[in-house]
Order: sequence, then structure tokens, then C-alpha cells
Amino acid sequence: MTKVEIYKDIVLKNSKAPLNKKIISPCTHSSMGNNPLCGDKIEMFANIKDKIISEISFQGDGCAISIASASILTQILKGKNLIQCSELVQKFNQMIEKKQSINNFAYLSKEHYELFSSFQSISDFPMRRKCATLSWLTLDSALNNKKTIILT
Amino acid sequence: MNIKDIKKHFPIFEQKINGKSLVYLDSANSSQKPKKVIDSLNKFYSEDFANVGRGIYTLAANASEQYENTRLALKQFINASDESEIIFTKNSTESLNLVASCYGSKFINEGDEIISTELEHHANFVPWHFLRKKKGAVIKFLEIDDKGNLKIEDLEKLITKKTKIISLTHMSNVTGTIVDIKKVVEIAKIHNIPVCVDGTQGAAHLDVNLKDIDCDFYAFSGHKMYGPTGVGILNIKYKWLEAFEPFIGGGGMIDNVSKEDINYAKGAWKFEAGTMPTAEIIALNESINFINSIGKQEIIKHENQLTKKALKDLKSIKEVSVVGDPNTRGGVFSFNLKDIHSHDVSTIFDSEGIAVRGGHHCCQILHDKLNLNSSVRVSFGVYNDEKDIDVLLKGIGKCQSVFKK
Repeated sequence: MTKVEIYKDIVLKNSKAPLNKKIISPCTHSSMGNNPLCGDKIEMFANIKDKIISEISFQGDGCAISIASASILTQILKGKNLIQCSELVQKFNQMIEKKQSINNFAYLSKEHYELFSSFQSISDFPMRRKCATLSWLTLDSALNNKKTIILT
Repeated sequence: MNIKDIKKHFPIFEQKINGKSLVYLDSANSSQKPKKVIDSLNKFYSEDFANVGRGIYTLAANASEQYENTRLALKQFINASDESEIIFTKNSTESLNLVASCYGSKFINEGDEIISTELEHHANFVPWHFLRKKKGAVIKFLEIDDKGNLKIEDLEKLITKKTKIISLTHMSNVTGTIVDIKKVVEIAKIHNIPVCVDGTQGAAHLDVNLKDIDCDFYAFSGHKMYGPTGVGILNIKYKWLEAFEPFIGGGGMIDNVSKEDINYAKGAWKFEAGTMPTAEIIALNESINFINSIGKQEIIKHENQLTKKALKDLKSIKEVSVVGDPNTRGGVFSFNLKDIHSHDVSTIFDSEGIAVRGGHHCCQILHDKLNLNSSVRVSFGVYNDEKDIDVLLKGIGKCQSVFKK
């Protein structure tokens, strides 16, 4: 695959017009993520009610991959329970960092699975993997009550 | 040597990158290496290898002579006062750390002030920050104007009785701004304040005359001037060599050791402990020869012409915004492409064989000042030509077409 193929329609659409790019205040969980290598900064916000993500959003500055990834994260994780959330974060990270193939999850719609798996090809570009995982790992640290995360 | 066919002296350009000819526009990060430099490394390891300064056998004596020859060549290259004032380190960063650590531990105390600038690379900020943490020193910043020029006219206002050192770059690795170091030194001398210069870009891309500039410290690295990695240089006035305690201790930097006391070596050798990157230092001499065989002035002229043309071409694209517009600049500039992040630009450029750097280029303070998250940096070396600018423009077009989908 050539380098420009990582800029799929889903990625471009979500980077140009990201969904849920706003601050939720007050919120039950939030965390700042920073990738010092490239300067990407993402802040994740979530409201958890009865162990379910009732509201989720992000703010930040970054490349198309990082913004699109945050945008699809918020779409996929809204309404999921904390166990599903943690599994999806883990699987997303493994898909990108360890090139693990993924099957659909019983609780993901076809549309959300398509969003999720559209990032699979980023795993072929080691220099861009962190762009994709930053928002997911930042959310994970928010849910674990950590205020900041730094990827290196 | 003619600059027009210089590319053939660099083996790296013989290969394809992503199926395309390499358009290397990242010399401000590190330059590519001419065959003569690579051959020199090979020759030293194959035919001449021995550790320097230890043995008295033939190989060791030859190796020591070659090692010291590089110091002599550097003395000429930067017009330094004396070879004993030229210290070999690991890189520019280590050279700057040496100054901050050795000067700071002896001469900087709580409340003392260090003058830095908004143009600095992190290598010339972090070591001074250490002193802020350790000693309670204060760092003051000489600002830039909106074009990226350093406001040297404000320097006098920043200086107080507590100012202990001024540390600043000779040339910005982001905007290309050339700083009038001679002027800074003139002002500093009135107040008896030493000046430390980060010459990492300067030594590679400007004509450096240290006898004329007369700064106290000038730090640079070999790998940006077509030499091997692993070699930094610090030119340091002799009085500081005497005043400073050693930076690291070990073999080679001593005169005499007893159970009770140690006498250190004199001059630069006091700061070169342990086995140094010998092959690299010796090969650096070849990179100096390479630069001299073309002529520094010719290289500067060549890089300036390319920069001028590239800026003219890029400015004609309305989605391009160039970072700063300094009055005097070297062969480097940065830009942003509207609505496309620098990392996406770099990835798409890579698909065309273009190597640039995207990000903040270790200059977060400068990017913050200009309200930028990041930028794409283009920097020229002796091997670039106008065809590279054409490919760069094609790359910009490709970025725009990918993101227009």
C-alpha cells in the first residue's frame, strides 16, 4: 500500500469535520494527552453514569490521523459500558501497535466496526501509529483517573 | 569541485525512496555524507585503527596525529584563536550542556539571570532550565518581532547587574533568521557578560569567523556539515578552560593521579575523557576538506539562491503561509499549508521521495510565540538543486489533491 492510502475517505471526513469536538464541563472524567515528538495535544472528556459513557468529547490540535481517530472514538464509545470501552481501547491499540487483526465485536454496529477498522492500515506506518492511538490512550487514562498521559 | 554535479559525490542519492528519486530537504536536521567521508571511516577502521593518545606504537601515533589534524582543520574552518580551545564532544547539545553545567555550577547562584531568546532550539534552553531548577536562576527571553527577527535593540533593557550569561543561536533552525552575534557580543562586552553561541546551523551554513565574532563559547556539530554523527565541537575561550571544573572525569583528561589528588590536563584535553569517537573525528576532517574544495562562499550563495527561489514559488500558492520573513536568513524556512497538518504533509511528501521535517523542530517556544502548533521545514544543503524545488511544488499539489477528496 502506498503512503497516501492511509488518507481514506473516513479519515479525511472525520479530520475535516470531526464530531464531538467540544469541551464537556463539568464532566466526571477527563485527561490530557500529549505526543511531544510531533506536538499533538488531545484532551478527552467523558461523563459516566451507571458505568455507561453517557457523554464523550475531545478537544485538541493535531494531524488528520489524530483528529479523525478522536472523532471516530467518540462516535463508537458513546453509550458503551466501561468493560466494552476498555476492551475496545485495548483492541484498537493492539490493532495499531501490534498489527493484530480484529473481528467485529457483538456490541458494535456494522457502521461502527467500519469506522474502527478503517484505521488498521496505519499500523503499516510506524511513524504515524501514535497519532492514531493518542486519543484512545488518553481516554483510557481519563477512565483510570489519570490526568495526563505522554506518549513517546 | 563544481557544485552543479555535486550530487554524484553522495552515494545516498543513487537509490530510490518509495520508487522516487530522493529529494532531501532536511539538512538542518542532519546532512547527507559524501563518499570521501564514508571512505575515511572505512579506511581508518581497515588500515589505521588504534586508540589515540595512549600507545606509542606506530598505529597509535598515526591515529593520534590524524585526530589532532581535525582539530587543526577546525581551527582554520572557524578561524579560532588556538586549537587548545577546541573541545570535542558528542554533539552540539553536549557542548551546550557542558557550558551550562560548568559555568552554572561555578558562576550562577540563586536569582542570577540568564538571557535566552525566543528563537532557541531546545538544546540551548533545556540545559539553562536545569540551572533554573537547581540553582534558582532566572531565564529572561529576548523577543522576536512578527517577522522572526531577534529584537537585539531590546538587549540592553534585559541586562541587569544579575545577568551572568547570554546564550543564543547564530541561525534559527525554523525561520532561518541569522542573528547579528557580533553586535550581541559588543553589547555584552560593555557589561562584561560572556556570550554562548549555538552555532549548530551557523557552522554548517554561514561563514564563521570566531576571531571576528569574539564570543566566549561557540557550539556546533559535525553531522550537519557533511561529517559523521557522534562529534560535537565547543570552541571556548582559554580563560574558561582554566576556570571550569571538568565536565566528566576519566582517562585522558588528567596530568597526574595520586591517592591524594589529581591534576587535570590543560586546554581542551581536560574535557575529553575516555575513548572519543575517533574514526568520526578523523572523518570530520574529510568533510571540512569537502566544504573547502567547493568553497564556503559558493555553498552559501547556492543555498541562498535556492531559498530565494523556493520562497518565491511557495509564496505564489495562496494556501501556503511561510513562518516569519526575517531580514537576513540562511538556507532554511518553514511553512504551513492551509488546513493540512505538517505531519500529513510530511507523509504525503514522503510518497514523492521528499524528505522534510514536520513538527515543532525542537522549538516549541518559537511556535507558541507565533501561535503555531507545528510547521513543515525545508532546509537546503550543497546537493540540492532547482529540480528539488519543482518536486517540492508537485508534493504540495499532491497534498492539496489528497485533502480535497
